[in-house]
Amino acid sequence: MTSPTTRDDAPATVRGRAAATTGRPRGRGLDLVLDNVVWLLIVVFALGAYALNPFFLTVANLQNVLVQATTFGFVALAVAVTLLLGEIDLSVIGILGVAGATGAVLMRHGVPGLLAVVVVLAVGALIGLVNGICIARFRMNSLIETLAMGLALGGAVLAITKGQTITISSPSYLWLGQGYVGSWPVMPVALVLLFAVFAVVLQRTRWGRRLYATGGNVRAAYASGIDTDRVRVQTFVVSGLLAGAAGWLTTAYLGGVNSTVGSNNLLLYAIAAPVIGGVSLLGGRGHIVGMLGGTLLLTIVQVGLQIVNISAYYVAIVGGVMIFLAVLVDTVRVRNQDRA
Amino acid sequence: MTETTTAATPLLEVRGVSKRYGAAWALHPLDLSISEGSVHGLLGKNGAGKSTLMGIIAGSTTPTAGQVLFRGEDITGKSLAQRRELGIRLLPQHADVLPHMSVTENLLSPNYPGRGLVNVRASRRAAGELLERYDLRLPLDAPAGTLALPDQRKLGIVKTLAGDGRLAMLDEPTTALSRAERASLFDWMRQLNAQGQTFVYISHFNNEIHEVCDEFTVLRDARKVGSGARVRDLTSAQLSELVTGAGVEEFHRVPRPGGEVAVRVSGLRARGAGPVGFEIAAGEIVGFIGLPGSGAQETARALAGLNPPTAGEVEVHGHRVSCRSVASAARRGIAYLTPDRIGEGVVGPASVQESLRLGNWPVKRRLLDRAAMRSTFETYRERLSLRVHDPRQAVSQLSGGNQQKVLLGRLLALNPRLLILDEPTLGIDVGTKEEVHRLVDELTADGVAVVVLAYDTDELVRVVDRAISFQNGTIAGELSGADLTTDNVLKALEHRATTYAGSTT
Repeated sequence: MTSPTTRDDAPATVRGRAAATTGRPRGRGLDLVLDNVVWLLIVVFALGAYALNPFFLTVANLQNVLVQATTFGFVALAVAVTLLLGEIDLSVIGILGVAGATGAVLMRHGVPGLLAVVVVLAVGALIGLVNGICIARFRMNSLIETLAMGLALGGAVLAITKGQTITISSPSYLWLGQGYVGSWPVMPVALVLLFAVFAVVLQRTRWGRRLYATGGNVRAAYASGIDTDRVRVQTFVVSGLLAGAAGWLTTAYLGGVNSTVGSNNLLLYAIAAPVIGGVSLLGGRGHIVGMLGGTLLLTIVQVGLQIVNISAYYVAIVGGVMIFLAVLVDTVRVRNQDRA
Repeated sequence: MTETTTAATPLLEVRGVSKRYGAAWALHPLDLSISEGSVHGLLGKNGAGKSTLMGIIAGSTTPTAGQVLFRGEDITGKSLAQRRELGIRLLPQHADVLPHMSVTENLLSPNYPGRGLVNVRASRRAAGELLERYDLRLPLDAPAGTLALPDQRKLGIVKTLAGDGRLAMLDEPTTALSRAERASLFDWMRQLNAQGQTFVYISHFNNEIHEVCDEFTVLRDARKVGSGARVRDLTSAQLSELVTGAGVEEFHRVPRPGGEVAVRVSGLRARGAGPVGFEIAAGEIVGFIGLPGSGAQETARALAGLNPPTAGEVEVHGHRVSCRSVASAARRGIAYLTPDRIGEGVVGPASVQESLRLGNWPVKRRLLDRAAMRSTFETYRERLSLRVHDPRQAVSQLSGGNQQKVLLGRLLALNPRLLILDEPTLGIDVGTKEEVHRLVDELTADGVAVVVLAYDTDELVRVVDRAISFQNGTIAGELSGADLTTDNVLKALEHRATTYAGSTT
């Protein structure tokens, strides 16, 4: 049936196939939309909130969004790095609380503010180190280990504060959370710096690539000479450090610590943000731009719901539905890409 | 006997079936017929259209045009499930058993007998009958993962056939089986075939197609380029020519005069190996032969740092090498190509460019040097004739052959002094295979010492200078010069090959 002269038209087939995998000219516009769906949703939600309450798109409110996004961005990124590894850190909120409470107690005993900041960060990193060693060296399951750690740390915050509010007055500790330059809050600078630094660390350093490789296929990463256990420990230290930094930011913003710091839904939002931004729960996939998008989107949803006139009884439902929708759109995106 | 049945309506017929994705043809229009009671060999390179064709027949892929007929009835519009009911069954390439579940559970899952609760006794009986029907003797309660590999494959095939499977399509079922294990699988297939079972058998290996098939179809570049009723009428070279287009020249290495000693191993002990001692000259290619568990692979992995040695010394060009970890072995120039490409080889989401320097990323002022990565990519794209259009493409999107080239490129980028290739041509097509062997041959001109492990004995003897055989963890003998023949290699393997008698628990 087919003539033996196929050699002549074979190159045409090869070219055709190559075009099919590179170009995808028809799907390109759709891909562009789906890849940036987080940003599209941000615009949609912001406009929706604006329509319901024009106050949403004022400078004052947008400043508030950025301030809220800062602490949240730190915990979201703390979770995100462990997701890239194919693990998870559920203790970030516990670390946030304990680190912050430690700082407050130290300052009450006369420790200078800057030293307290260093200790707060060190406490975060240290708890991360414990997590990392348990998970990498003792082969504990990260889900359970960090869940237990998070519960214990939540209890520790209660034990430290005894249910009281500890106020902080050291200006050198508070400047980042409460300082203003002109009419602009200083806190969002930390957000910008955080994502700028991590964009470089994740994409352009060996450490970042080891993290992605280990998360993408741990056996292959090991066989290529990467010390995967070490990458694991380091990642949990980074996660703890970021959560500790979030502890500093939160307590500096609030000017004190009480037992409710970082309770309730923050942890679940912190997991949802990177996932909505395209970070795979299986590890090895996810981009910093998406993580930023997820952080901003969920902050906008939260702040938007606070100022739009919805009864407090229903806010949580709407928040949950919003996240659900975002994940749904993301699923469509992943499917679409797999088919290509 | 087959002559009379082919005159009747074929069991399965494909008429003018094609598949295109946008502008690209995954399969040009073709006809195909499979006679009842035949073993139909389907040959072709990676990406030739075999999987697409199988998908169209099984019902998982919708053809762009054409018809599929089963016993003369048009089933083009029928779903995968409906075709399964009719008896059309496909065993995909990497279909594994559920290792922790029993043979019975593997066979019956998910349709256990019993209402509400699983009826254990009825399950065992049903599984027993099924095994008996297909003449397979396996312990019903043993976890499937404890069976010998060929028995696991047979178990998968029986599960595929359960409930009157008339047409069994097997996609490369011999991957990772040893020669003796393959023989056992083939004997069983021939026996079932004698009882009337029809098979479609997909393979890269001409000798397998020759051994077990009668009818055959060859696909190349999404077209049918040959078919016939008796594959044995064609020589292996003729088949290869059909598969690759141009005649494939089988590579035969011309032994090079041994240089100075490059690798010296003495008293090496590691899990499953030892004591082992040998030397390899610069520019020499040495084959390690031995069945699984003989110590051949264990020794190779010990040198690579993947099976850290507990005793012994390894020297490369006079430098002591600690094989404690992959990184420390690589630092002294030992590079290892894994046979488990998906599990231990590629990092799926990583880009091709990045994969070529995985774990060895070039940096400039502590940041990744993208220009250097790009130039590594350009170098190896050319040298390995990589078919990749965009260096940022994810490795998981490449064909198996191209993934293998990326892995090989990564090792070469390390400038190895000892290159260990464990099944370097596993699952890659005929043309690419010879390319790989030529490339390795060229490397030895620069003094690279090479170790090759390959289960395809014919292939092994034509690419190595010398072969070391392993048994019970240690070296049992050595073949070189005129003694290095397929027969002698097989004899060295025979020790266990003849005693293979199925799974024992």
